[in-house]
Amino acid sequence: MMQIMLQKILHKKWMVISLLIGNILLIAVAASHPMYQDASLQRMLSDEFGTYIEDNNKNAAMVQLTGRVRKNCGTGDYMRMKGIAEEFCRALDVKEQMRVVHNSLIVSAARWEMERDNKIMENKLKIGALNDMDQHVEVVSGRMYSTSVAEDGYIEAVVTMNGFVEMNLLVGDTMEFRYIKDADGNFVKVRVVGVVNNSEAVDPYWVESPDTFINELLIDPQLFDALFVNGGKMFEYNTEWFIVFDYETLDYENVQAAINQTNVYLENQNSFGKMEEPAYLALLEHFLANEKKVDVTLTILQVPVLVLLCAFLFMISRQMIEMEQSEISLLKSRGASKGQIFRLYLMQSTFLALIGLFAGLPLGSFLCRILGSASAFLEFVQRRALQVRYTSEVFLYAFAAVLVSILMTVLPVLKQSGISIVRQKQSKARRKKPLWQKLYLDIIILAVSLYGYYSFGNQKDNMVSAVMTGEALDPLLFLSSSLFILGAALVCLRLQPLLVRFIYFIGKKTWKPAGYASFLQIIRTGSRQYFIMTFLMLTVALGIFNTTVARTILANAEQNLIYNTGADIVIQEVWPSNELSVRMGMADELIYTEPDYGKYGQIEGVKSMTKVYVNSDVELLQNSKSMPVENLILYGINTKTFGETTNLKEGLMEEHFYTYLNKLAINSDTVLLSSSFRDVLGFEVGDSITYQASSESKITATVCGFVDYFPGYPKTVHGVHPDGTAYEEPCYMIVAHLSTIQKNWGVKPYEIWFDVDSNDGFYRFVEENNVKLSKCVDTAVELANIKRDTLFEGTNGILTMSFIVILILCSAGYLIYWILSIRSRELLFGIFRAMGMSRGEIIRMLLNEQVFSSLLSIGCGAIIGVLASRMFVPMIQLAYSAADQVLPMELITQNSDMVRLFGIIALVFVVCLGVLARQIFKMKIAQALKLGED
Amino acid sequence: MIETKNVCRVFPIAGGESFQALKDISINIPKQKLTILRGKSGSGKTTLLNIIGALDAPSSGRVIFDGEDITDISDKEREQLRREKIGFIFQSVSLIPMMTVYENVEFALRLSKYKGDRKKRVEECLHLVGLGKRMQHMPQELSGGEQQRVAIARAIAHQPQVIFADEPTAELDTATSHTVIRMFKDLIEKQGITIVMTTHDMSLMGAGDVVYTIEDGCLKQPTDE
Repeated sequence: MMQIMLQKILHKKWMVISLLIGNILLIAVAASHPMYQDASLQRMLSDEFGTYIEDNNKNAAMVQLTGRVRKNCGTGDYMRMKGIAEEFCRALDVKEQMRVVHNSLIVSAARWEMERDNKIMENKLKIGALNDMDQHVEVVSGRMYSTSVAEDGYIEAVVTMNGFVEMNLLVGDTMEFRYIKDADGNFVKVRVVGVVNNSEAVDPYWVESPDTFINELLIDPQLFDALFVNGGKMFEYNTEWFIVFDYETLDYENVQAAINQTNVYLENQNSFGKMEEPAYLALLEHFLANEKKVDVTLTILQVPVLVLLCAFLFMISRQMIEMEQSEISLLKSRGASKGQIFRLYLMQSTFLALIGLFAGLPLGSFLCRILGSASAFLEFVQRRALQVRYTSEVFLYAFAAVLVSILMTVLPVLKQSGISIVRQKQSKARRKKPLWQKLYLDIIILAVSLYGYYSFGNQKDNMVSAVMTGEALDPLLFLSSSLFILGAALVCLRLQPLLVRFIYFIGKKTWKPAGYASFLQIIRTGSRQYFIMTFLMLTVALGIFNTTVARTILANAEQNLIYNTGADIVIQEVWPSNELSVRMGMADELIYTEPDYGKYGQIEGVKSMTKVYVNSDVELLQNSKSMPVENLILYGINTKTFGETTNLKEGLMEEHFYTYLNKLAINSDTVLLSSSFRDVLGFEVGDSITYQASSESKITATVCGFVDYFPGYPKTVHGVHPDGTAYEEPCYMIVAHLSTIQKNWGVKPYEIWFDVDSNDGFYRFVEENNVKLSKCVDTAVELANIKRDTLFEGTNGILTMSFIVILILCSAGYLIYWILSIRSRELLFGIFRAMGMSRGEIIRMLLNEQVFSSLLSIGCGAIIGVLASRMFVPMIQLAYSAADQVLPMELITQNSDMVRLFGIIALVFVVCLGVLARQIFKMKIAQALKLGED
Repeated sequence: MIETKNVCRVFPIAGGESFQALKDISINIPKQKLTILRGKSGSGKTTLLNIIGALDAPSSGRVIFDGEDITDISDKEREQLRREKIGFIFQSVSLIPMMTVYENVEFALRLSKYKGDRKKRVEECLHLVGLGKRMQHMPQELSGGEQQRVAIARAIAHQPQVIFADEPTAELDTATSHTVIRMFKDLIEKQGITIVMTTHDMSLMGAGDVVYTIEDGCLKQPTDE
């Protein structure tokens, strides 16, 4: 049997190659899913920590335990805390990176002689010790402490640079603690032997910066333990434990467990040991919320391509079995039972699926890496590689794929192996309607998807609130879009024969032989082509849908980000002020000193800049009374430079953005208002409006116009009520002249908005001139962050992968289908040729067949894809930017994607025709006819 | 009508060797007669039929069709010849499966750019072979004999000068075979067609006006009736 199978495989190499392609891709895609999920979630987790370090300059992967040992309560608590510290990382299942133990006696008066001034100094100092400190410091002056008490009874200590200055010490100074006696009853004496500093600029060891040790004499930690912890006498001392773990070793699957474990520690604190709520707890919780969303989204996105792969296998397998029908009947006539034939195919499928498994797993990991480097649709960047792991889940998916593949390829056999040759011939003669057409499945599927579309359309608000509260996109929405594509494709399939028949009947009498034969071919044997046609339609439609989803999501996020930021770079410099004096009551009025604004003008790459005064703490007044308007924001601008620096997409408002700025520019006592003032509060052009900032004078202005959009102005404010429901409120904006505001309220800190060619020069300038910024938003950096976001990256990656897989399937499927379809018709071509048809006519006949099957399908697929995009992309898009969406959503398709999609299809088409032409030219009529005589 | 002069046909086979299917065949096929090429399977009779039927060209020797030397004519001219002057009937399944009986016959007319009323001619031909009532059937729904009769109707539809039939009776029972032969005779008589057929059925030999026997690619002496 094995031999028969191998022979069969060698014989049908085209089929087998395409089955293998399908198998390998199916397994690779299936296996890449958990791999990618695993790797990207892991990366997302470590990115959470990385971003925290970037933003806060602190490592979040740390826990801090503090306690105070008192004279009268033994070392039990201390030991318990030590136990927690030691087991902490093991309990969290992470690798401990650093454990810093800082013990210090409570401050006490120390006395020493200052020889240089002949003066006795007395100061409150403490004796402390840090474990392993000698490995993290360099001696700046003097030497390191020794590990034992010197012969003259002095404990040797070092101080940090800052401590050295603060305590006003010299190396060699000795001091006596007047209130601390050792176990023998002698006063504790310390000699300063050296000054140390951190040996490396960045060292996780220095959780507490060396600069903070301003009153501490650091001694050898073992000595500290020997003298003060286990010395036989109780001392009162503070103890701090800092445990830093390597966040890269925290498995994302253990996050929930780590949170739980941490909470156990936090809840079981007693009066002695205190654990601060570690910063990582919030990070992990944030991660968990995101994880679910990413998880669900990535899974949903992957489903269509998996289904398509299964369909592909089914199609090829069916085709293969159709071709082998004579072999099957031969086997049967020689006495093979139905079961034996079935087993033969089962063996073949298993064999191919196993090869697929071996090739598919490495390909899966390759795909996974490609996914991880997708920066946008069909765009890749060099990036921190994903750590691909072969988890048990990967194998589970791969084996499931193997099973599905076997099932898909064996299913058609089940159907065929029971049919005898006679029945087969009969069934060939009779043109039956396929089951799905009889059951109107196409209409039903389409109806279900449309129902989904309308019901989701009606619940848009609910969807926004679901997204706001961190939920993932409803899988049913995605299902609806997939069903729509499938249903519409099937409906097209139902209509195609009608169209062909119609065209055939129009010129029934006059069709040339080629056209005539091809029409009859389509009309009579059309149902055989249903599968490849459905496949083509799905491919094209999904291709278009995928590109539109990917492009739209990213482009909208980018455009909204650009809009929300307002300009390329937005900064606020720290203004020197008399804030301290005001706080201490020494001055009444807060006075700012305006930093030099002109200096920015010299920066290379800055095209233009403008001052923007932003105040969101403004009150609206009506008849001298405050009007309760929430979300009010005041902009003070210089119309000319503001217009030069910012830009607004055209078509957002009735008139160009500059027209509104020009209206405002005419009179410095006018303001532009957001249209919410008109729509909600009933303001009109020409009305006067009065506003006031806290403790400033009132300003009254005349309304000169309303704008729907304005750079940086959020039209609405989104939030989540405590009960979990999301809300949306309008936002109000007043745009006034900066000069008017400054005339009335004085010069207050303003933002500076820049229009730049490149931001390099800007950062260099800031660094070189030591400019202190309290706000710095860089659109370019933020845009890069969007692309790095796991949800975006995963979406782009998976849609790109699906697209590529679709293209491969489409090419392979199409090529195989046609090569086989031609082969099976060789005899027919022989008859045609014998009857005097030329090769050219046969090719024309096939071309005509293509136009009405393949090209028609491609056309239908394109229309379905565009329709599906129009209908479903706006809703899917919600999942990605519900809160940040200010600008109206715009469907984006990139011509280059379409060129790629249709270019490849055209290429396959041409290759197919090439193969066809070659076969037809190669074909010997006599031989072709002989075929029929066997 | 058709004459071959020293026709040889050599097929290259694997290993650079060649197989000589026909050796030095010179025959003459008279007009409006039934010529039978007799021989066992593999004797080369089909190869010869293909050559005189303009489906294949000889390796050497010449073929004269209706006074014209067709040995070296182009593919295009061959196609035209087949389309207009020749009709083919094959052993089996030579009907176009996706076309009805009517359409099969009509297709031959379309191909030969038949000038007259196609519908009339198709019906005429099908009545001639006794299948006037089964015009809308699909080929698969007919018996082997009926299929062969459709093939005959299709072969004569465009009023060719010659019909080549390759083992037209091979898959038919004796009674049906004789019906087909009778039909051939009728065609020759009434329509003035020349028919060349191959067969290995000895019982049909008597029907031939001329019988050529081919053995291992060589011609045995012709036997005139």
